[in-house]
Amino acid sequence: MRLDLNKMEPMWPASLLAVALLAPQELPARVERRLSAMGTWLELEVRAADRPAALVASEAAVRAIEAVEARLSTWREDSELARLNRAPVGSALLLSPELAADLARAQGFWRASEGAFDPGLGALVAAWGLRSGGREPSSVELEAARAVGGFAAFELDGRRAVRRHASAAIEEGGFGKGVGLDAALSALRTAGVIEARLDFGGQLATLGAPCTCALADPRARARPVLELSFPTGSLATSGNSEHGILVAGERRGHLLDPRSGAPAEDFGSLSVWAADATAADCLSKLYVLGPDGALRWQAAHPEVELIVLVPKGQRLVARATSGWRGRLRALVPELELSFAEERTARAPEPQPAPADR
Amino acid sequence: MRALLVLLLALAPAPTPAALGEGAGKVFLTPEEALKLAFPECEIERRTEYLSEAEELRIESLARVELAGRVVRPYVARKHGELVGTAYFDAHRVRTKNEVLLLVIGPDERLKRVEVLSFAEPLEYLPRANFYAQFSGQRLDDELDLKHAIRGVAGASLSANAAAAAARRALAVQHVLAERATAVPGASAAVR
Repeated sequence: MRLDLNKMEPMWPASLLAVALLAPQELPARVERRLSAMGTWLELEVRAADRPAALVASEAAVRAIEAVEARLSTWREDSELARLNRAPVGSALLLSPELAADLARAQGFWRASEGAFDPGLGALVAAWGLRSGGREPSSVELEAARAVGGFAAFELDGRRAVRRHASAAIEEGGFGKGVGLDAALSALRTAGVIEARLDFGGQLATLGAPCTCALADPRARARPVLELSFPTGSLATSGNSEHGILVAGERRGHLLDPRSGAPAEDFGSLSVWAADATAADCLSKLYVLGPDGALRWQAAHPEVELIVLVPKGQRLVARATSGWRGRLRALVPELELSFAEERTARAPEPQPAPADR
Repeated sequence: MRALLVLLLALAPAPTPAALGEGAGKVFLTPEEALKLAFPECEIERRTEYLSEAEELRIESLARVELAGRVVRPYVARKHGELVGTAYFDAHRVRTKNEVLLLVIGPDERLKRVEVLSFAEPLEYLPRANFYAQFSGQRLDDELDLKHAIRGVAGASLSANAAAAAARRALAVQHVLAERATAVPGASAAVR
């Protein structure tokens, strides 16, 4: 299903109108929470009929994410995915319906991206020491890790999974946050929440209300450079500015290109909007294709919208797909904004920068 | 590093709403709300534990942070008689103002939840997301340390240090109380 950002009526005026029509005592209650979850930081903002209802709903969302963590985290040995990663080669393992669904979705994006998104990078992650500060693998080690085959080393057939290589391992890092956010949104809907906004380690998702946020300068994460809004769905950003490893004294990105087995070339950042959070999370890994490759991929997949930010000397070039028209605002004067189809640079009048989200 | 952390109310009783709001920062949840959410349908017992000098030293040695005193107050949650978890409130100074955290430890002595109840500093001083990557499920060992598994974060190092110290402190207290319960059957049994 495509959610055409460009064709949707802006939702914020309606929201403002709705608020204006409510007497103060009828305003829904808002609960904000900030807690650790799934190895990252979760911020929730939930509106419901009253504070007790908002609290209960927020906790349902947190518990949904905790359930996803218990299923997917490979940082703990007792998760179902960790057990799959230890399963004897060639033996079929019966997955829970939930894990089977998670992996089927990840497999769909792996195929759609022709392997640019690959959740089966465990052998490469180990070779590069991404969980232990980074190391330079020898050429033999790198080839051995590549030979594992990534996600292709797993056979999935409904709830049946077979591991085909002793070093094959699925990394939840490429899709786990998205799965967690979707589970949280589902729990919030079930709880009858009116509006919610979630920030899960930098990936945003919104329910029932538009989300306005700012993309950070890839060169300086604390500096907002481009404001954007989206009415629903989720926005995930990939880039190397916040994470990274030191290899032989050289800083390398943490995003591995499954095609080469090496850290992807650092170009800036890629932000992906999709109707659901799992899609946004998986497809933000199209970063490894580079800005042109990612935009070419989107041209055949208009159900998602992209923004690439590329530093060029003192300038910052932003290229957005068509769904973002009317929804972007430059916050710094050096930002050059263009839309993918026209490829003509135009610089909107700089606006005062609001506070970062 | 210790000089950076001026502990005001380490492992304190549940802070009052007034204390949570000190400095006009952000108050997310009241302690009562946080406990109810962390332990739904549980009986929650507020205990007061008096530590011996030896226990205090042992906790400080394990946690590598100072305790503010020898009185600690775990909130022990049980459901149908089974221990579900133990909560601690940790109030500490970040820069010039207070932060109050709820730390929930499971029966396996692993950290189950770290939640900010109030943060009086500007919110940009909160640690960034990736700082918390190693919190979940941690036990107290050498890995639960800023210089090891739990890394500091540029721009938010004071709050990152404070949160890591709070986690270590709560885990160390829990561990020593569990040791006491093992050594003296019946004593502090609520935390086992």
